[in-house]
Amino acid sequence: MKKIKYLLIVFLLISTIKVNASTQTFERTEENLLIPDEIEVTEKNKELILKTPSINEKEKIYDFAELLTEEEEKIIYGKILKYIDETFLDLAIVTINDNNKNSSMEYADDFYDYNFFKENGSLFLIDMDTRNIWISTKGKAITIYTDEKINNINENIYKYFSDEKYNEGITKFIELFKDYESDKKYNAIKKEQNKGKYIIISLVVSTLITLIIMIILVTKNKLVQKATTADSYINNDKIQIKQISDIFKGRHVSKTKIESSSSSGGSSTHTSSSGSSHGGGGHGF
Amino acid sequence: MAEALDNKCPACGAKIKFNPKNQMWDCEYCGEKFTLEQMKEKQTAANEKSNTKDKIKAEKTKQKIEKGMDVYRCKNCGAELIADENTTATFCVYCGSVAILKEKIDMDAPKRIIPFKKEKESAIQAFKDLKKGRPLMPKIFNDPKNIEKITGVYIPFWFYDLNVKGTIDFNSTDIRTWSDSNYHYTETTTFLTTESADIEYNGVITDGSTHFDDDLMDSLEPFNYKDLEEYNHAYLSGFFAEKYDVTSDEAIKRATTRVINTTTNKAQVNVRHQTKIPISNTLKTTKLNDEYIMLPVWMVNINYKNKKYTFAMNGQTGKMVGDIPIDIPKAIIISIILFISIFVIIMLILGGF
Repeated sequence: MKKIKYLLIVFLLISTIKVNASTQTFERTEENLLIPDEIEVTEKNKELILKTPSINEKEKIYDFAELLTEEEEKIIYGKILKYIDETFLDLAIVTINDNNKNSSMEYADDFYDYNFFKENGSLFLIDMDTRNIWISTKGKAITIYTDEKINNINENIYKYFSDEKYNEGITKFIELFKDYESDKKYNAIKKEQNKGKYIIISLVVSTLITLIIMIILVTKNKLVQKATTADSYINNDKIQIKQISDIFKGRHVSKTKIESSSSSGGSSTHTSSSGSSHGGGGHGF
Repeated sequence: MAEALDNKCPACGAKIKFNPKNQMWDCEYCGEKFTLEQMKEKQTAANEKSNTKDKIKAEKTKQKIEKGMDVYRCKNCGAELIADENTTATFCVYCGSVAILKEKIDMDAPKRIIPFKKEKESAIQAFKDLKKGRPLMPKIFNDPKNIEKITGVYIPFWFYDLNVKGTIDFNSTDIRTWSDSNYHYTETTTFLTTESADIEYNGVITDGSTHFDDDLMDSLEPFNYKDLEEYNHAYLSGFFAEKYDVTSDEAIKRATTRVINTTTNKAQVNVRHQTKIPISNTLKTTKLNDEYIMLPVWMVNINYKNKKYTFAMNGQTGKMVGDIPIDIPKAIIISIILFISIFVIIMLILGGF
């Protein structure tokens, strides 16, 4: 009996650890929505709030889709803490098999808004349902992570998820996300990535400049030019030019449609169901 | 036509040469210098004393014919260089050949002449200066052996006063653009514009020698006509001259093209529309006057890779003309160096390293 009791305790202990390692959620009720105070509840968003899992915001990794092993989660968790520590921005990683919202964007935004994450921070969602990755940014993170940077990150990592290398993908995400937090480092990385482009630009420009200089040097050697005019021989006292007639021949009007062009720079934002602004972007995998 | 002057020193009777530097005749033997007036004076005095033979000679020169000039005929290119008895040719100025024959000929004397203003030294210097800022010039062009051959030649030119008169039709258009919120509009209005022109041109010149490239001679312009003097045989002293071999009627074609072009341009400027394209004209060129003149040119020919390159300097203004060939190996090396250094600079600016 004692043995059985002992085994039971061990089993329970193991299962608790497992519960901790997977994800602990709290139940939301109409009476207790478990949302930050600043969020205004309306009929519209109430349903969405209830559909959003309520979690412990300190866990940082919410692996609902169970894509990571415990060991991997531990390492990633360490990296997230380091990121938060260094940047003062929050960061969470969410994986789901089932998306009960309209889009990855909506899911990511709601998940961040309706839990107790910091005012400034980001959330990285791996949505196995729609096969999308999505980076949602909020507060200062919106301005730090411009559309260009987010696209760049997505471009660099989506392949890992196509290849089911979730741990590598997430690790790479955190690495890039941290690097891109500082513009200086981002620019350095961008430069590295653009090296090929720079070489091509330099090749083209230097070819052009060399050509122009050589043409100038070659023309400098040409000191002979056929005279085709006689301007300098005009007798200025005997010059008469008059317009005799100017006959109207026709008029033609053509019109072209004005193309509306849109340009973007920096970060584009959208408003989530909670009413707060988010930035971000995603990529299919 | 002034009386021809003997190119002899009025003081000592030695051969005497015209010096472009002081525009006087310097005697190398007795050191005396003479102006044109002094030369004429002494000559007239001498002529009065001289026998009838000389008088006949003087009469004949009045018929605008220079009798018994030395002419050096090149066996190689057929060029003829005229010189007075003081000047000796040892090579052909045009092709560099030494196979030249000395003969005597009669020459139509030009009406007027611009005497040399630049002496040989400044021509040599101008030629040496050609290399400045021209890294693609082959080295051979600065060989002193070549530069020393630079020779002063009076080149025959036809000098025209022309009148151009007539009308020119232009296809002209005005373009106006505006836009509203949906469209850009372009309105093109076309006109047929007719301009009348009547312009006189004085002193349009055309080279009268087939030995010279016409374009090269064009490039020597402009000459300043205030230095045009009545022709005198004495100016040839120390220089060569050439006979014209293009008649006035032939040479005028080039001048006519030029005055017609300029007249069209002037009329075009007068058209008050945005674009104007000349489509037809009734322009007529009338020759008011033509004159045979000689203009001073320093010239040298250089052979490079079996091709002859002629360089000429306006003997009045010092303007240097001529096409310099490109030293291909030099050009390749310079291009490579340029390319590499520009590439490195741009990469540094972009931060590509």
